[in-house]
Amino acid sequence: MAMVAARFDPASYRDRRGRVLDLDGRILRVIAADAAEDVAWLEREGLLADLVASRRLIPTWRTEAPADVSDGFEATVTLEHERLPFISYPYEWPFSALKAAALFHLDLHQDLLSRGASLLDASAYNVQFRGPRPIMIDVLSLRPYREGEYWLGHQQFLDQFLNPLLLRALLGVPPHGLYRGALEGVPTALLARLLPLRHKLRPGVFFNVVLPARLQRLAAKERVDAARAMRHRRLPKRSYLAMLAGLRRTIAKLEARPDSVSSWRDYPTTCSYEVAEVESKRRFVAEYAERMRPRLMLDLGCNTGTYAAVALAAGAAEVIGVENDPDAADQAFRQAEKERLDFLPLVIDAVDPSPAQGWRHLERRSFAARARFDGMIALAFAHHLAIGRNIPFDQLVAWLVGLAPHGVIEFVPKSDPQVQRLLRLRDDIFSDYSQENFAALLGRFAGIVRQETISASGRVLYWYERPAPPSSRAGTS
Amino acid sequence: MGFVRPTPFVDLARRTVEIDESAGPRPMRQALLSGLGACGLCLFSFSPAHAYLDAGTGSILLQAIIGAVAAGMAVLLGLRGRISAIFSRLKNKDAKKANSSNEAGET
Repeated sequence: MAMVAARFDPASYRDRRGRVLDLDGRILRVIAADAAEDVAWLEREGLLADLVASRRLIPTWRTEAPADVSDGFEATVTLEHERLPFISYPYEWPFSALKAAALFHLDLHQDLLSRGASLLDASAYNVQFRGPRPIMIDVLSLRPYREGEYWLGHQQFLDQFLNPLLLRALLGVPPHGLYRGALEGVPTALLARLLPLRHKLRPGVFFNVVLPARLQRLAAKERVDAARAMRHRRLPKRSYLAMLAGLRRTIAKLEARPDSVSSWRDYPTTCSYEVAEVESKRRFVAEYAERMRPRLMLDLGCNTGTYAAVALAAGAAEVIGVENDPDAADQAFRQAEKERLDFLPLVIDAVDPSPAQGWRHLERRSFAARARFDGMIALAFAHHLAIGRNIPFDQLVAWLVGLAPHGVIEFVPKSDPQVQRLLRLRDDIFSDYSQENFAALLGRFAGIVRQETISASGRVLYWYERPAPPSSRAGTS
Repeated sequence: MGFVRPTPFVDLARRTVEIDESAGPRPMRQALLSGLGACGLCLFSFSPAHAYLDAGTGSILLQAIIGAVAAGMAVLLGLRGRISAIFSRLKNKDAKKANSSNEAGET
């Protein structure tokens, strides 16, 4: 029994009517009797098929119930979902990604309401990305609309979508750290305290932040009774739709207020490389992607995504970008949207990556646990960790090579102006930071397939490939 | 004209009033009982949809206010409809009277 229970997705506990389980790589959703009727209704109405066809819902089909589902769960219906290559979390999304997910959610909800269905929650974690395109992954959030019902996910939508967007758009505060520290989102009461009066008077903010926060305070003092109000008052469908439309208008207008400390966004145009250097780098990455054809490639320090785009054009199937700077990641996301690239840049600091957190530390997985890449590039990246962040050089190389079985890593020598900039205000305590040492360390963990010096300052690209694990150990790893 | 009676549940009260209209004027107690009946009817006819999610008091109260405003507007619109109906009925009556007196005059 315990073995079966361990297969249930630890994050799938809130809605008791169904649970998600990972069965040898297949993603199954077992559904209890009380939700089976809703699922049957969605199928009868053709909603499931239509949402899948329009790429708004993860491909989903009925399947045989797994033989040994137990742990007290009685499955009436079993659905299977297409497995996503990578799960990202809203606290990793660039501003434009969170905005795209929010608008997607509202559009989906409006469309569902016009067809007699509704969404019973508004969890940002139920939205995932294929490239820069949002997609809904939770079928049990969909159910028939009941006349007069409330938008039960309104507060959740505010906390998980609107409030973090407002933090950035109105105050210029990237919400990622705060969001990561509060998995259920940025509380409305908190945002109401942070906003100055001139922002509070905007209609979208007044209606969705100030008023709910005020009413919440009144309810906490038991001056009003929300349960009684809900029992006695319906929300007409027209008003429901108007709430969604109002939020949509508010969010569509939000723009990321520029972060003045961002040094990365303008990097591609202001950086010191020669054109020839960029050209050789592009060619090297293209050759790597063309020969290795990674299905899910990691771009470490992706900046605005120039080389992710090169890899995708050359043969990489999908790319996940990791970028510390929210502005650069945001620009990369918008570029991916514009050029329809299968590229999802995320705001993650490689030195402080997303941890395992939530209930029992199992609910939201660490970046390392989700990092199942079969290729990677780390261009003009390693020196930021080795010198900018004091990461020991041997640990750094071991970590880089451990991220994917093969990849391309750029070594930037100390003499390079970019490294000199990092050393401007500090002692050079990095005696082991040299090309010889880098090559030796790389050779310890992997084979060097190719290397090419690409700049006069001595920048070198290394294409590494880890040795295949011995076949006798393949089954146990 | 029971439908202008102030009540916290305006839309449902209208429904009750429609039933009561034929009964004519009633004593206060009867009105109160009818009000309680309206509450009962309301509880019976509308059990709020819940979900596994706690919807949050601020959001629920906001939506209750939106619902109240919408219902209030519906009542005002209904009232306007009724008043104009009364006027048109009176007009029709006058017209009929005029017609019938005309007819009577003709015979």
